[in-house]
Amino acid sequence: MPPKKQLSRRQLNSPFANLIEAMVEAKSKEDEMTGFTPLWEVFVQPKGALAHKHCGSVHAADAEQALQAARDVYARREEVRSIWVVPSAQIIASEPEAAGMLFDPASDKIYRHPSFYDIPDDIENM
Amino acid sequence: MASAEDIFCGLLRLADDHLILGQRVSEWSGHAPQLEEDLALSNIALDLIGSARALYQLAGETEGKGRDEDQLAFLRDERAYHNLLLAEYPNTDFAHTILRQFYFSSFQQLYWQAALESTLPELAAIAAKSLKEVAYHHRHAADWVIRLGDGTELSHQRMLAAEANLAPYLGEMFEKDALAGRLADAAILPDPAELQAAFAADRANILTRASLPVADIESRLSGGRSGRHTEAMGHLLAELQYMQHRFPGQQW
Repeated sequence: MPPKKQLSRRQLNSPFANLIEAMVEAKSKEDEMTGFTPLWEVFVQPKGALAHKHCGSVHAADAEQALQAARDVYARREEVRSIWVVPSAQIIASEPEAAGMLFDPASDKIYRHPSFYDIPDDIENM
Repeated sequence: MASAEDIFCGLLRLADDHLILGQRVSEWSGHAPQLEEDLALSNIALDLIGSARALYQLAGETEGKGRDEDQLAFLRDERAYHNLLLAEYPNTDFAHTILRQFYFSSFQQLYWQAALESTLPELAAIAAKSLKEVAYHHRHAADWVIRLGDGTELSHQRMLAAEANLAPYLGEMFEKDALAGRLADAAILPDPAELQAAFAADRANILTRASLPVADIESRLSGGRSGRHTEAMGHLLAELQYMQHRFPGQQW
């Protein structure tokens, strides 16, 4: 059992203190090295795009540093308008085993696609 | 009255600060403590070298002897470089690197802000472009200074050591010799002495938040502006100039 990690004062004062503590606790059990720097998922909104898109992840001690790391790693070349970072531990994902139940029933319902309609020319983003 | 040679020499000082610090920071590429910081430091190094290029181009045009940015950057002897000693200070460890970056960025942010009013329009344009870059360098470095100074016992000790080692170099940034005086009088370059109070306030704010002591700004070590460098400079130039010495006139 590795020793319990001490959070820095700055991490403890952050509004995400409980979350960071939980992530560090979980992570330090499996990885001594990155225990202090939890994982964050990065979402980038390119210029001219409507939605943020997941583009990868960064390690960072807290939210502010995660945002800077995301900027340095994922906004180097692209024209970016905005970045979101989300604690990876906060992502709630569907179970891979449930994929059949969740997604397969959609595959034979072709009428759910809008391909049987004429789309007016002035409708964008379909 | 500032002559064309004065302007050339003033631009060279500024360009050398950016090139030499950019070279230093780029030494972290592939060696930083984590991938995220590796890219952050490489981005900063590239910004600094980009500013140096623009300044060398302008200096070369001002000089009018046909020297281009590569000749100015790579083909001078050590005594002909006029950068701050702070810029050539070895990386040492991450604490020294990040505190050095905070000091330079804090100074340079004030400098570029003042240079927006330069009577040399090309310089005002470089200032406007560099200002956005240096604002991010400042934010990134100051954030780390607070984080490490107010972090663990080990990170605090390392920041204390960095502060003690770098403090003697700070005064050089604000030295106003005859050349700096002529350029300031002609409103071509900002008056460095006038930036000291704002720098001191910014430094005191960040160091206090980092639980680090705020020593006075001293001028114990200087000489870079007149080409007198520390031992570290020769080693830095050996690496920086290697390709141009080995393959003269080589281009990418």
